[in-house]
Amino acid sequence: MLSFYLTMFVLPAAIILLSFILAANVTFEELE
Amino acid sequence: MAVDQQAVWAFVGYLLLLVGVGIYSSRFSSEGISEFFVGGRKMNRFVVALSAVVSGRSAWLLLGVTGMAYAQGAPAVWAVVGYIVVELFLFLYYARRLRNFSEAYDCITIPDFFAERFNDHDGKLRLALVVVFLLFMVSYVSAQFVAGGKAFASSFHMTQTEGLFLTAVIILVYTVLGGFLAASLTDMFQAIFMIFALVVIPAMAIYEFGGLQAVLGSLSEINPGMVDPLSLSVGVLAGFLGIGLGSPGNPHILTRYISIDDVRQLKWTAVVGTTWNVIMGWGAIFIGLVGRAYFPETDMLPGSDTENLYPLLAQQQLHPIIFGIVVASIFAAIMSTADSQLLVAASAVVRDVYDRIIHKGRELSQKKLVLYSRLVVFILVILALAFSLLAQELVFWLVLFAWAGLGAALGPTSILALYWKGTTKAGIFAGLLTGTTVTIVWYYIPVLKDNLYELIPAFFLSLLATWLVSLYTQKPDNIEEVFIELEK
Repeated sequence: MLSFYLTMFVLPAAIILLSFILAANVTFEELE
Repeated sequence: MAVDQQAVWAFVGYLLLLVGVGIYSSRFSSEGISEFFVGGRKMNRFVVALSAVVSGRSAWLLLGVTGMAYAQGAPAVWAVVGYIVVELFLFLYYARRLRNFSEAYDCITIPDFFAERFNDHDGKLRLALVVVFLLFMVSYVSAQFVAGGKAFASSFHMTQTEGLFLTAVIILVYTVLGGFLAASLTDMFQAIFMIFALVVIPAMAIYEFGGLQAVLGSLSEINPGMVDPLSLSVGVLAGFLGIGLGSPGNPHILTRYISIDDVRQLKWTAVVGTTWNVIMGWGAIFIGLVGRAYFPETDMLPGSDTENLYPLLAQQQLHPIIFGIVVASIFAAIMSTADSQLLVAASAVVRDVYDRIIHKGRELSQKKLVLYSRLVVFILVILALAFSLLAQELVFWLVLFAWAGLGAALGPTSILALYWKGTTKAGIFAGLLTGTTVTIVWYYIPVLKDNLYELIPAFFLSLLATWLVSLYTQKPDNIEEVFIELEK
């Protein structure tokens, strides 16, 4: 049952968090 | 499935909204071919984020994934994990290079990108891509029409053929009038409808069933594997995750990246697009799980078809007006995919064949090009409609190749074209040929197909073929100049 909660609730939250972290670390300074 | 008048009116209201958006967008889209096909590269970040993720999710998500979770339980979640993670990386890295290059070299289609990247003066590479696009896209659109016909038939007392015509007419009106702007704006509305339905239905159904524990208890009684996301074989897991390999090769998704107004906004679209993808994906899985608790036996579903779970559960749980909106969300999924595919196919004919190959890029009146684009969309709708009426079974058979075939042919070649200076035109031809051939051959050999989804071997063999052939052939002369634009 633990794997259910991890996959159904923690994993989606982790993917969204990953998108924030990666987006914050992508730099576009050459254009700025 | 019987519905009352309120549901019908809610649905009609939604259709009128789509046509209204088409009329609203038509003035802008008539300005020129770039406006018609990529919204003049002026699309707002929110519109790009939502339209990139919903164009990629056809009725497959609402009907197919919910049905898969109904049949297999929690392991089906891996079918959504793969493409969500891949698309996050596409937004952040791949999209940026594609967008930079397309602006610098005035590309508005994916064949434009390949032709400019590899100095395709004789138009052979462009033509090869157009053939692949048309073959897969027309079949893909036909399948969306068939899905629309089925959804109308099961929701609103219509025959499938009547529903099919109605779906085609609605898509035709707003796509011909409004072009890319209309397709993207309607995608945005459709994304909102879809997310609403995918959050509200499972939440209400779980609550009414007595909570998540009750649902899980009921699923465990059917089969303990239903609540264990890891109860699947390595081959099935790889197949589910491998669905994501199709995303970088499907041009109706890639065109969205070209259309964004400011490349720096891609950071923002990555977060919004991923959040939207996650909520839609997991929502579909929860609908399947709670649906199984409500209807433990498949023969409790209309026609014993697991793909009918979503509308059935919605009708049972929701007020008729909200149910009308849910039916609209199925059409939203179908239409947001079909309109984008029609535009990609039409752009291949007008931009790539007429403008670039026949007229070799000589100055042509923009108004004339837009008129031709509208005519081509019209002709493609007629073709897709005829195809879907004549060969409904064949259409679905071809669609299996469309996602895998495009993904395997264009995914590895476009990634190498964007990231590796050593990629050559001959390498791209080798990759296109290998990707398409392996997809088809793998599909036809049962022992292979039963163990692994054809996209995975086709993708990696296409990558290998592009790399090997590129090693022994001539690079384009202007490669350093090209990479300055790409790496901006």
